[in-house]
Amino acid sequence: MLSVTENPIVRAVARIHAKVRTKLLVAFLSIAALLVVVALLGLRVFGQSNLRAERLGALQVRVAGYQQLEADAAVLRQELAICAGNADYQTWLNGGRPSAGPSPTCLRSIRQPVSSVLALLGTSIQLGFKPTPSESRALRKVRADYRSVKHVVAAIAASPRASGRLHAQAEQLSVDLEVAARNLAQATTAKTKALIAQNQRSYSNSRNLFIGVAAGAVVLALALGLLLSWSLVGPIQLIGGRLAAIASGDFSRHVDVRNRDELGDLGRNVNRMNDELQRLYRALETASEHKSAFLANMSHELRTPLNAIIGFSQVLREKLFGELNEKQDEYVGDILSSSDHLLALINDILDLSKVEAGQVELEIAPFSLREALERGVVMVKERALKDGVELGLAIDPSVDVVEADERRIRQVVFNLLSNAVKFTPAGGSVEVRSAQINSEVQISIADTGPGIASEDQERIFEEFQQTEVGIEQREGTGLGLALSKRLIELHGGRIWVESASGEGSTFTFTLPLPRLR
Amino acid sequence: MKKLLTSVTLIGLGVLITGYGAWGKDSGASDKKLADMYRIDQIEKTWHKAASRKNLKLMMSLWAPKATMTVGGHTYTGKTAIRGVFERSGPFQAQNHWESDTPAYKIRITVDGNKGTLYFECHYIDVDTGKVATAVGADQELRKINGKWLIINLAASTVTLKP
Repeated sequence: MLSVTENPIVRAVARIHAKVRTKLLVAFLSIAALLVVVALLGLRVFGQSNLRAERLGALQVRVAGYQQLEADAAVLRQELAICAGNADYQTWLNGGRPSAGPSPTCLRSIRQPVSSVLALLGTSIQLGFKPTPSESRALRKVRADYRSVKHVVAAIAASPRASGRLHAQAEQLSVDLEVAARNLAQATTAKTKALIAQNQRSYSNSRNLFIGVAAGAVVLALALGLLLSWSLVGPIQLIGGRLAAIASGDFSRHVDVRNRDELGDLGRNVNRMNDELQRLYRALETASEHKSAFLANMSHELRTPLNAIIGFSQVLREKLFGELNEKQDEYVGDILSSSDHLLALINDILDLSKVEAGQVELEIAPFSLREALERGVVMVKERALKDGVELGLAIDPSVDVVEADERRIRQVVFNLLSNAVKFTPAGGSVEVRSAQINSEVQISIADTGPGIASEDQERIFEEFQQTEVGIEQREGTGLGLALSKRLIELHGGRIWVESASGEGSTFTFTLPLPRLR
Repeated sequence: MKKLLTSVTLIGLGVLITGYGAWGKDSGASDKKLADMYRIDQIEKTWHKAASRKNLKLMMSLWAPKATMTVGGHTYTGKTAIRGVFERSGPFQAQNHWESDTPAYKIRITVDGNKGTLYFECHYIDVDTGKVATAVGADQELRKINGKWLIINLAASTVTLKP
C-alpha cells in the first residue's frame, strides 16, 4: 500500500512548479470559489422560492376575490330563494312551519343591493386584481347572468302576477350565476394547489441540490486541503528525519524531495549541508587521528628523556656518586621538582586527549568506594600533616561497593583531595563525605581554603584554567579538574563546585545508581 | 492528521445537519394550519350537536360577542339578537324532533392566520317521520379570539342546487 507521500496525486501536486505561497493562495481561492458557488446557489434557491411565494400570494388574492364573487352570488341566490318562498329555508326559519309563499315586497327590497353588486361585479375594483384573459371570458358570462337576473327581478317587481314563473327563472339564473362564480373560484383554487405542489417539489429538489452541492464543496475543499498539506507535510517530515539522522552523525544518505517549490530547494540544501558536514567530519576525524598519534608519539618522546632526567636527578640527590654542596643539592631539587611537574603535565595531556578522542575505555567493575576514598586520604595525608591541615572522612555505611572504573575514580578522588589540601592553609581542614541520594551516590570533598569566586566556578573545569590562587602557588597543570570532569561524565555522573570567596569550597561528583550493587 | 480529518468531517456534517434542520422548519407552519382547520371543523360538530339537543347555550358558545347574522333579508347584531333567531328556528322548537345530520354533507374551511371561513350545508331529519325536514346552508366568517375560533358573521343560505 502506498504511503500518503507516495500517492501519485500528492506527488503530482508536489511537483507543480510553483511556490508554496502560490499553492496555498490557489487552494484558499479555490475553497473561497466553492463557498461562493454554494452561496450563489443558495441565493438562486431563495430567489426561486421568493418568486413562487409571490405567485402563490397573487393566486391566493385571486382565490379570495373569486370566493367573494361566489359569496355575493350565493347571497343573491339566497335572497331570491327566500323571497320566492324557498320551502327549506322558510321551514327552518319559521320554527318548522310551511313556507308563506313568494313575496314581491321582499324582492323589491333587494333590488337596490342587487344593482350595487352588479355595478362592481367582476371589475378590478371588486376583485382587487386584474383577471387573466380566460378568467375575463368567464367573468363576462357572470356579468351577463347578473344582467339577466336584474331584468327578471325588475320584471317581478313591475308585474306581481307573473311573479311565480319569473321567480323560478330568477332562481335558476342565480343558481347559474353562483355555479359560474364557483367554477372561477375552484379553477383558481386548483391552480393554487398545483402551484403549492410544484413549490413543494421545487423545494425538495432545491434542498437536495443545495445539500449535494454543499456536501460536494466540503469534500472538494477537504480533498484539496489534504492534498496540499500532504504535499507539504511529507517533504517536511522527510527533511526533519534526515536532519535528525545528521544530528546523530549519519551522513550516509540524501533526502529525496521532489517538490518544485521552496521545500525542494530546502531538500537540496539539506543534501548539500549533509555532504559538507560529512567532508568536515572526515577531515576532523583525520585531524583527530593525527593529533592522537602526535600526542602519543610526543608523550613517548618526551617521557623517555624525562625519565632519564628524573632518574639521574634522584641518583644525584641520593648522593650515590658523592656529596653535593648546598647549591648543587638545591639545583638538583629544582630539576627533580620541575621534571615531576612536567611528567604530570604530559600524563594529564595524554589522558585528556585520549578522553577527547574517545580512546578511553572504562573498565567497569565492582569495587569498594569506601576503600578508594580511604586510600585517597592516605595518599594526601603526608602533605596534609606537613601543611597542618586536618583530614576527615565520613562515609555513609550504606555506600560501599560501586560499579565503575576504579582506577579512574581513584584518579578523580586523588585530584580533588590533592587540590583541597594544596589550597587549604595551615589550621584548616579537608573532609571527605559520601552518601546515597535518590538514584545516585554523591562524593563530596570540602575544604576551608580561600574559596572560589562565582565567576571562576565554571571556568576551572576547562583545560589550563586556574584560579588566581592556583596561578600564584605555581602548582598544578590546570588540567586536573578538566580531566576529572570528563572522567566523571564518561561514567554518566556530574561534577560541580559550591564555593564562595573566603568560605572554602566543596567539590561534589556523582555516580549513577545503575552502577551500584 | 486523523484528528484534523475527524474534526473537519464533523464540522461539515454539523453544518449540513443544521442547514437541513433550518430548511425543514417550514413544516411547522403547515402543522399550525392543520391544527386550526381541525378546531374550525369542531365548530360544525358543535353546531349540529347543539341543534340536535336543543342546547341554545352550547350554540351561543360558538359566537363572538359582537357577531352578526344575516338571514331572511335581515341582519341581527349581537348574541342576544342571534339567540332570538335560534329560539324561533325549527330545530329548537319543543314540538320538533329534528336530528341534525353531522358531519354536514358539504363543508368548506379556509384559514388565513387568525381569520377563517366555514361553509356547510346540512340536512335536518325529522325523527318522527324519518324524512328530511329541511336542508339549509350557512356561510360563516370566523376569527381567532383569545386562542378560540368564534363566528363573527353568518349569512344563511339555501343549499346549492348544482355541484
